[in-house]
Amino acid sequence: MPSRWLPVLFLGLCLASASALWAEDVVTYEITLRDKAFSLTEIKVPAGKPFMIKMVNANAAPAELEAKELKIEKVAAGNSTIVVRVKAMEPGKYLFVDEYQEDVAKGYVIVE
Amino acid sequence: MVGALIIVFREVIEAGLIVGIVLAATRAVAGSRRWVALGVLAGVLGSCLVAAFTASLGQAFNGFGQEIFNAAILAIAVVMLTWHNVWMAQHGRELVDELKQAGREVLEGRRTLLALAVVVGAAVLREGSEVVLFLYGVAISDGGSGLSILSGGLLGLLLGGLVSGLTYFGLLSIPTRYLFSVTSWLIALLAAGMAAQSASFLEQAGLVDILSNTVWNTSGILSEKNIAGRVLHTLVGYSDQPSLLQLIVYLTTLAAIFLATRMAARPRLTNPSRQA
Repeated sequence: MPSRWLPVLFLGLCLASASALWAEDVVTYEITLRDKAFSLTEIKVPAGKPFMIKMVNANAAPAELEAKELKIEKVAAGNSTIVVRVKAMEPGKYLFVDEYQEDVAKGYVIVE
Repeated sequence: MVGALIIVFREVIEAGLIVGIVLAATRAVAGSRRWVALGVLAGVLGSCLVAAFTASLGQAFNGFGQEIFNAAILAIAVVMLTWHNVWMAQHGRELVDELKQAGREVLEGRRTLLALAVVVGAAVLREGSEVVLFLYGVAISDGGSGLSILSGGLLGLLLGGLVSGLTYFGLLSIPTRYLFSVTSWLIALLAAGMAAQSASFLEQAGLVDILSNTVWNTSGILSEKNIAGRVLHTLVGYSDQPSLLQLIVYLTTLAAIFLATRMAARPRLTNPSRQA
């Protein structure tokens, strides 16, 4: 059944195109998660341009950076750094949290 | 405690639903429970492994190892689910009618069970590693509330098991002659949703940059984050802000499974005495 191989083929094609896309120049914004708070509670980002967020997890405990509307959901081991990629967004205020302590550890990406 | 319960429950609900559906879909196949249990066990062990290697996994592929890993796991699950549906279209009716099984069929039955065990394992693995990390984090940064959070987490796990049970018995309450087509549709929708999610992970990794515009935004009406949204997300692949790519992948997968199943079912009609 050829359809069975479609996802595999799809994945292969994507991997093949990877290097080209990674080469592009995208601005990276850096934040640090320490204890129960992010170093920045607001990240200002220009509208219509893709960007990256680099999160340093300075805690010993793992964290999960999550921003539903920005399609971010990524775990970070204790004392490690993760990078997430966000597509070009419309102007707006988008919440990001550490999902493991989402009541306290939060901030906003402000796209304008 | 309630917070921890919600976090853990949110993560395990997907695996819970999938286990329930798989149990119901393979009820007629001998030994299915053992395979599902094996899948869950492998998933739990895998979760601990993935959690332990989170840092190195995250660093792979220029920092997008997690996304690619998730996309690959989901793609494998889609393939397995498709295979199962095609196989069931060929043999399901015989199993349901409890006809005598030829040796070859039993062997293939085992293979489709293996496929579904992989699906169960993948589901547990994906969400499970996050639960393991969360509980581990609580355990090492104990601020006096550790025990309460831990028990909340365990309650969340139990609730996940309850979801499996409810799904299973809910499906079993459907008359047997409809059960087969209901589970086939559920599995097709499950697979389509997983394919779309796999595409979404590839988008997050920056591997695919086409058709990325959001088709609709219903996060105000039904967020993917709350329990109802999660359930729908798993069952039919509901997304509150899907990209055009996700939508296309979803529909394509659904159509491909539908066609493959139809093609697999056809030879039996022209040659019904083949298994006699």
